[in-house]
Amino acid sequence: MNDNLYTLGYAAMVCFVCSILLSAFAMGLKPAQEKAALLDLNTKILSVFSLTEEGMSSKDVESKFAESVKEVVIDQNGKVYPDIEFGSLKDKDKCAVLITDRARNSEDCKLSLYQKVQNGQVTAVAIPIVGKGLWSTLYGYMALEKDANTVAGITFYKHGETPGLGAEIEQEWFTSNFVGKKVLDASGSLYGVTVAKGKAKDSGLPAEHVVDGISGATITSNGVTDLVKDCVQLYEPYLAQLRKGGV
Amino acid sequence: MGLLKSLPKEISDPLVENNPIATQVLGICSALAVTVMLKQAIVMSLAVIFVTAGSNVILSFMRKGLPSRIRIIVEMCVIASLVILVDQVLRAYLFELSKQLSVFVGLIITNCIVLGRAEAYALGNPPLPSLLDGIGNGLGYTLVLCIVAALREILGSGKLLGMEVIPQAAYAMGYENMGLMVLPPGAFILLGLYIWAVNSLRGKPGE
Repeated sequence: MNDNLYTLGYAAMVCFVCSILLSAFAMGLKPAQEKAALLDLNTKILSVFSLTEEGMSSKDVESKFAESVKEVVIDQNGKVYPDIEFGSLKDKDKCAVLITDRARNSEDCKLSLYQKVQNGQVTAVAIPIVGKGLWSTLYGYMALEKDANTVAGITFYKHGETPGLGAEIEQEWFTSNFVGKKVLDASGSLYGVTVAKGKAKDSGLPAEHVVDGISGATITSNGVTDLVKDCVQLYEPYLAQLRKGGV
Repeated sequence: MGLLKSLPKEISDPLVENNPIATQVLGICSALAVTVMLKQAIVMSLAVIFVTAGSNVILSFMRKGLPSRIRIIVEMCVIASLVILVDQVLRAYLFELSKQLSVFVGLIITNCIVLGRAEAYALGNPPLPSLLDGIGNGLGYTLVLCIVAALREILGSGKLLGMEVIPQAAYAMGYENMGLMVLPPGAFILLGLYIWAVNSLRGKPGE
């Protein structure tokens, strides 16, 4: 009996000490981790705007970001809120969640986006794209030219897909195929960009709306197709203004 | 070999004679996964050295009071805590690398070398030799990882630590990078050849 008590007590002590130590470390390292994650995100935004250069240091990224990228807060009707601080937006990357919750809290639902500003002109915008893959939620950004139709770039910064299969979505061979594709069809209504099953040219879809798929990752590919469309849909009111040149 | 002799036995033994990868064939999973580039392999090795050494020392201190019925669980608990610690530090200061290493940092927990050394050595020896044993085995792992990673990076991408080492002239003459080396089978083949070479040079273990 004593033996059992000792064993239990020993196990409890080990758990206690380990958890205290780990929480202390996690708390202490959190600011540095958040800073690193933000820097990584900003680098991705720069890359989706084709503003990255070989061998940029973290200082270069910061200054380039401050110089040519503007953070914008809008609501679902496309209204811009210059007074709301960008960093204070919670869950600004979860536009898929917003789609399902739209009816419920349309009032306080704010969206984020990035503008690429050159010589005082908005030359492109990047919107967050979020949606389900096979195992995980995919998080990324898609940049559209100022016609709010032509894709300027796409990037994924967080996901938990299978390395070598679904995780290929972050590889350049996949993302570079999106550049130059159109999200609107000829009549001006939303079409999105479809990730083909197999080669794009064998899919029978219009060439400006389809990219090569990833073999062995059909569900991830379908997820990318859906999330591109859903997220453009969500930003459509804002994008429509952009098309008219009203931003 | 003179240099090896001058080192404590706990460190020199696992480097060559009783290398955890080449002789005991432990820790193969991560050795295959993170050897595409030398930089990743080095960071991974440092993490493994830290974890083996740290868990060996801690468990060696605990060895007298440790109830033997739950010893494996306690060992895992200590090892897991150390691994999480490493993971958190990497995320804070080496974000890009920690993304590339992804799950393999977390999988150090299941690296047989760590639990193997805790079970086989730390539980029966005082802290200082356990520390040396942990460092030694970590270095043994490092040695193999770095050799394989360096070969894979040179053959597969023509680079070493991200710098071009194959001259452009060679490419102009028709040399091509070996795509196989970037893929997991490349690691299998190189590691197999390495183990074969080491074991045949040295004679079969125990002979």
